[in-house]
Amino acid sequence: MTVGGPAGVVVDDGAVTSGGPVGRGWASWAGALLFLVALALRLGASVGDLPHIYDWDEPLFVSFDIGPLWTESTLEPAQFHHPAVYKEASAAMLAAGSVLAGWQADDLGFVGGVTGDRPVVNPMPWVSVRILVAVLGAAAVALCWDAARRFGLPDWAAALAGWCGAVAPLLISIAPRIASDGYLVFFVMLAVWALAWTLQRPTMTRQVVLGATLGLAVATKYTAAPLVVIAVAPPLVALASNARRATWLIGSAAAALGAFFVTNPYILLRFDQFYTEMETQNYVYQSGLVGLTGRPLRFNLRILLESAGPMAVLALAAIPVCWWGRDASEPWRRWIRRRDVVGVLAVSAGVVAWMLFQTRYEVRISRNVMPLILPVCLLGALAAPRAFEAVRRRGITVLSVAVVVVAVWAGLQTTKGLFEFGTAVADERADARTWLQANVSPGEVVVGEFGTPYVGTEGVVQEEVAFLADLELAELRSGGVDWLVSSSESTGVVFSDRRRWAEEIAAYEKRFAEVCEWHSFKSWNTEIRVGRVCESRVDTNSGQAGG
Amino acid sequence: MTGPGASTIGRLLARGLRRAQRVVTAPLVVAVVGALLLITVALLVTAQRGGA
Repeated sequence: MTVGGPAGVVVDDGAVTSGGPVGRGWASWAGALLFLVALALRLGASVGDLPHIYDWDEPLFVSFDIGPLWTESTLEPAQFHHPAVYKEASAAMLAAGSVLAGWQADDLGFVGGVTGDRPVVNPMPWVSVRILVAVLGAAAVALCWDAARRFGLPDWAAALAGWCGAVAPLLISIAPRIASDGYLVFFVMLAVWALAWTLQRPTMTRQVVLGATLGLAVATKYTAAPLVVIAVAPPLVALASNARRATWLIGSAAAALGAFFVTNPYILLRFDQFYTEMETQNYVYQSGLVGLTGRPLRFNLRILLESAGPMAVLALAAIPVCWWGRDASEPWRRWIRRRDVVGVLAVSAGVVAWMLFQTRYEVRISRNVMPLILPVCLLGALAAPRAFEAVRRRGITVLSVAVVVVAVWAGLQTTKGLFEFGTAVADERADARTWLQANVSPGEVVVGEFGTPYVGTEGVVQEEVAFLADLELAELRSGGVDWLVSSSESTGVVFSDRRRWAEEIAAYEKRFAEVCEWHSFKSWNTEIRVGRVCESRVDTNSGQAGG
Repeated sequence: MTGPGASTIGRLLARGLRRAQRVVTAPLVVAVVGALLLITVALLVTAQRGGA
């Protein structure tokens, strides 16, 4: 591969690197394979729940009208209190569908439903936008692989980063949903790829493109703002005068602001609405949510470890490994090493700034760090070759153990990814729904927490609570409830930390004690339990409650 | 048409073609065709399920 050297001289760096934008042999096919594997896994989650929508946030994020940018031919900034790029992309997809397939606003509606299960009139618009997000997610994996090669890493390290990103469970199950987070996975990786591309041969044009990609990322979700620190890296390594470096920085900042405001003009048109929404989001994330609160930094680190596997551990070692592994023996190689170290520092700084920003909120939700998974895989790849060299010097035994550990761990990640795919495709909620439709009689009352299927039988009363622990015990004991429905999607986060949520768990157990007949519906790691509140138990406990 | 007598448009076309040949590689074609196949399957499965 060739890289730009001092004073614009093109330097052959064959001794250090083996990858490049256009590879040879198996490496040239690795990107295509990674893209297709990632796409296949993401498409499963895109189709899995349809014609129902199980994600409680998805309908909230996208208030679907065909062409939500306009109301009666007027720009409607009121729709855009969220950052707009994801909404514009979704609207563009729907507008294309309305032309090609004749979709109308009614096609995007629901037929009844509860928070965690909404039957849709027409699944095609939903799946089309999800497919767009899935394709972007798969493209992000290919960008991760290509960025690693542009950093001059060996093909095996680039492939390892891409593979761990392709099978990362969170990116399979949550990312294809129509929300800002899925799009952000792509735009964050696009910005990091642009960094690798710019560091390869720093020029004003590339620096401006890097700035524009950062502007797009922030316009997709404001939480991407800490990532802008990566734009400082190329001017640092460029062999140019300070004035030229300053010009590059100003150029990239202008491009970032331009991309941000062009795609998100509503922030200027309706600043008051933007500010109010920001305050609301700040309040929500600083308040307490059962099962989703506490120790955000530790939680986010765990999410990255679970998602990126061995690459997350290698990423932790990226800075020391690259710093101590640099070689300053030759002037041109010093430039390349400096580029590597600065690249690692820049991506690390972006990730750390993002994580620290998230710690200001008490509420922690895994999707808030989801866009960092691929950059973390890239960081791990940046450390991998030097870590490999360091281990190799310690002898064949240590090297064998290290290779086996990484290989087994990567295999485990693959299993987890396939498991996540299975969870998304298998539909235990549909099984539970069918059973409830056959066994619940009109006039009976079903109370369920999030994750409960929508029964939809005429005459059946279905009530929702966020958690069954919130259900009034008196209501349960008064005979006003015939069925309880519990989902591991809700109970899992509570029962996983018995010490922290002891009060909520005790409340759950009191309510479960009112049930004497359970029916369980399992698929992979999700379980829905349907419990009949027995009459005899109701009578007994009603007396106790009355006493 | 890239010799000394070639027109500007001809030279630009030839340059564009050369660049396209470098970008449009076999893996890229396979990725695009494979993606279209996967997307078609996803759309067919969804259409078969129908709406509520």
